[in-house]
Amino acid sequence: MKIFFAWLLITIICLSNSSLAYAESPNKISSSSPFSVQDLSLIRKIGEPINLEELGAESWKNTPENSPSEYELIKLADRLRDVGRYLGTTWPVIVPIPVSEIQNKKASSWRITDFRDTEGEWLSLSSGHALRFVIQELEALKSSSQQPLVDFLVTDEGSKVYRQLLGISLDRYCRELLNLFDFSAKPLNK
Amino acid sequence: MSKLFYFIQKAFLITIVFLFIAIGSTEFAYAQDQPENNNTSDLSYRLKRLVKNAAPNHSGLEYFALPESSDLNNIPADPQNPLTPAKVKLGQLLFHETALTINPLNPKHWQQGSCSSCHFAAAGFRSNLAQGLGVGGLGANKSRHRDADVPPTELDKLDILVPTVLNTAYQDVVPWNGRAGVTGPNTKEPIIQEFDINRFKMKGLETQAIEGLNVHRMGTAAIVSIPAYQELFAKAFPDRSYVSAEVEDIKRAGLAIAAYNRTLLTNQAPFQKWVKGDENSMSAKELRGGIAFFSSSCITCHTGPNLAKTEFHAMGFADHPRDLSGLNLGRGTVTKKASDDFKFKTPQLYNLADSTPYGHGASFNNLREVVQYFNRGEVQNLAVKYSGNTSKLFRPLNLTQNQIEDLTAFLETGLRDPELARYAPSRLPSGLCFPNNDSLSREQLNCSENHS
Repeated sequence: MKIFFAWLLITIICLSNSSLAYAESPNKISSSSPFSVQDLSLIRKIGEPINLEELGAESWKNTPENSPSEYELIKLADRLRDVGRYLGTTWPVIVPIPVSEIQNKKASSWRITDFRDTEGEWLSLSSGHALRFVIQELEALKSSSQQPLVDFLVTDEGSKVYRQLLGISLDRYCRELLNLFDFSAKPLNK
Repeated sequence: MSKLFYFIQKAFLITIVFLFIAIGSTEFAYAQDQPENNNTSDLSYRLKRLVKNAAPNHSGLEYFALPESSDLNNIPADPQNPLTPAKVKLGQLLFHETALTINPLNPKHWQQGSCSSCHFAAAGFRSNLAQGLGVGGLGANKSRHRDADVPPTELDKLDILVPTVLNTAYQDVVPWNGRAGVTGPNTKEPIIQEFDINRFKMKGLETQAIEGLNVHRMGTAAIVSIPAYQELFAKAFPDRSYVSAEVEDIKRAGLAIAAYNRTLLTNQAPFQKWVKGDENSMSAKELRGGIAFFSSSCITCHTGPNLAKTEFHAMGFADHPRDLSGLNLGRGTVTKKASDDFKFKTPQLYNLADSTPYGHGASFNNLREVVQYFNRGEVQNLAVKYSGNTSKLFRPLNLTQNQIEDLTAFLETGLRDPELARYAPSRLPSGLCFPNNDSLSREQLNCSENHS
C-alpha cells in the first residue's frame, strides 16, 4: 500500500512537471520559467489582432480533417532535426497561409512567423521551436486533454505589418507544417 | 505414478515461485531497510574492491589517480604544446588577466573581463551562474548580472552552461559538443577536422584556448609593453621574435593558457587522497556514496582520473532556457549525423558542489536533483525520446533514498578539492582587478586595496 501511494505520488509529480507547456492548454496557465527570454524578441510593429475570417482561413477553426498521425509527426520531427542540423536551429520555419483559402486577393501573402511563449514574449519560429511544437503535439496525442492553443504573429510581406493570430490549435499548426514539407523527398541524412 | 509425478511437479513449481518471491522480498527489504554501515575500514575495503574492478587491465587504484600539478611529465599534453613551468605561469596570469579584453562589443566594458570571469577558482572553475557572463557582466560570483544599460546583443554571454576547466587535461575534445580538437573522438570525423577552429590541428584544450581569445574579443596589445609579461613570454616561448605580430601572440597566449588549464587538477579531493592510500580521507557517508557510485552504471561513462570518458551521450537533459532557437542538437550539429543529435560530452565530476546549476541546459538546481534524475531515468527533453537517441545507459538506477543521499555526499564532498584557491595568482602584472574589473566587482572584491 505504501509503495502504491509512493508510486502514485511520483506519477502525479512527474505528470505535473512533464508538460512542455509550450502552447497553452485552454483553461490552464502554464508555469513560467525562471528565466526571462527577451534577447531575440525583435522590435516589431505589431498591429491589431487579425481573425481567421479576415485571412480567409475559417476552416482553421475546425480540427483538421485529417489530424496529424503519430507517424507523420515523428517524420516531421526528423525533418525538423535535419533542418536544425544542417541549416541551424535558428533557421526560420515560416508557414504560409494557403493562397487558395484567402478571399482577399490583395493580402495573399500572409504567413506565420512568430509565436508567443509562455512568458508572453514573441519569438521567431525557428526549426527548434517548430520541433518543440511537434513534440508537444505528439504528447497531446497520447492524452485525452483538449488541444493546446497557440498565439501566432502573421505578417504580410507587402506591408511588413505584424498581426496577432490568436488561439490556433496545435494540431492545425502541425498539419500546416506537414503541408510545408515535402515528404516524398529523401531525408538529408539517415 | 503419474499422480505422484504431477504432485512433485506442482510442488516444484510452487517452490520456485515462492523462492522468487522470497528472494525478491529479501532484496527489496535489504535495499529499503539495511542499517547504515559506519565502519569505515569495512566500507573502505568494499570500495577498494569495486574501484579495482572498475580499473581496466588490472591497473588498480592508480587508474583513478590524478598527478600533482607540478608533475608536468605525467599530465597529458599536446605534442605541439609541451608543458613547461614558465608556460604554465604565463598561462595562469593570462587566464586571469582582465587587461586582455580590449575589444568589447561595447567600449564601456573595456578591460573588464577575463577567462576567469566565467571560470574562477572559487566556483570550481565554472561561473556559478545559469548563464555565464563575460564582459558586460557586473559584479562577482553569484551576484554577477547583466549590465542593463547596454543592449543584450552587446554582452558576452553563453546560451549553454559554462563547463569547468578542471581536469580538462583528460579530455581530448571540448566543449559540450566536442567541436574543438582533432584527436580522440574527432579523429574519424572529417567534417570536424576541417573546421576553421581546428586549423592548428591540435587537441581540444589548445584549440579552444586560442579560439576563446578571438571569440571573446581579447588581445595582447595592452600587455605587451608590460615588462613582466615581456619576460614571461620570452621564458615561455624562447623562439618568440623580439617584435612579434599580434596574431602570433594570440596563439602563444592560447597555448600558455591551455598549458595552465592542464595543471588544474583536483588532486587534493578526499577521493584522490583515498586512492593514493589515505584511508581516513573520506567519511563513512562518502565511502557509502562511493560504493553506490562504483556499483552503478555511472562508472561506465564516469571513469578514469577525471571520472569522465571523452564520449557523447544523450541523457535527455533540457536545453538551456537562454537558447532562443529552442533546440540544441549537441554533437549532431558538428558531426551532421542524426544519430548524434542531443548527445553531449560526458562532464568530469570533481568540485561540482562549488557552482550551480547543473546540466548543459542549467536544468538542475542541486546535485541531489541530478542524482534523483538518473535514479528515475525519465528524460526532461521529450525531443530526445522521439529522436531515438536516448542513451541505452540511461535507465533507472533503483537506488534507495539512503543511497541517493550517500551518492550525493560522495559527489558534493568526496570529490571536492577544497584548495582550488592555490591555482589563482595573488596579483596580475597589469595591476588590474580579477577575475572581473567592472566597478561593482572591484568594490565587491576590495580591489582598490589589493590589486591596483
